Amino acid sequence: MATASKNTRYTSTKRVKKKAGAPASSLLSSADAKCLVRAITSTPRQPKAKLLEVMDLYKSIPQL
Amino acid sequence: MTPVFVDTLAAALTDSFDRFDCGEPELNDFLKRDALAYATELRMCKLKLLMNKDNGDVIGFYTLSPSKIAVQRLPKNVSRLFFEHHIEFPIPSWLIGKLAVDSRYKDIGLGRALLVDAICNAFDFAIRCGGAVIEVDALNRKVKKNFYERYGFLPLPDCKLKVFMPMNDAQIIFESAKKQLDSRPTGG
Repeated sequence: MATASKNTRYTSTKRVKKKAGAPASSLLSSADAKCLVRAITSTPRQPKAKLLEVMDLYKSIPQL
Repeated sequence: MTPVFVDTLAAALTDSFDRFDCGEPELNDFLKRDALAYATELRMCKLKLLMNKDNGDVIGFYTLSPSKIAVQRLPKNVSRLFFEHHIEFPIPSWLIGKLAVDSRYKDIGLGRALLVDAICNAFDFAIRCGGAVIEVDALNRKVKKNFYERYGFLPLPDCKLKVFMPMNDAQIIFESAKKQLDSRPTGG
């Protein structure tokens, strides 16, 4: 059975191969890290839910 | 107050643009000076108004126009989908260029209602003509953060004032609105 290398770090969206001796902070470029953090921490359904809250008002407004 | 959405041609009949004041001279001036010409003579955009039927006030408005955006500008988790299909050229989008609500009608959800209408129209156009994302040019960082990002738009990594929404997200808004509209009682 394959086992994960102890040098492989798992996140919720990406698997990052750690370079030997590399500090954790250098595993990703700054842009990659931002995307990764956004992918992990963003709650895309929540903001849309806030927009969906206004549907009752929206449906009450006629279109001419 | 009786709000009602009005399309451009009907809007041409109104003279109430001068009363509009959202607190931002740039947007006030656009509506008073250029909006109708943009939407009619120049065919630059669709102009949609939200009006108060009781007194003819323009409560708010937005513009929508076709645009395009370089795939490389999108965040990697989004652009990856296009790169997988070897799409490296600019992709079609719909741009909400301007959206504003009169100061007298703020804080009662009408700005959000305008945004929902803009998203629904953009999605409708995308179904018929194509369009992968909705872009917005936010007026400033405060509007970008407290309005657009709060309601599901995502920042573009290389741009301080532009946000976007993938069309799949717009579809969720569209289908919810359609469901709501379909469930309206039909009266005679």
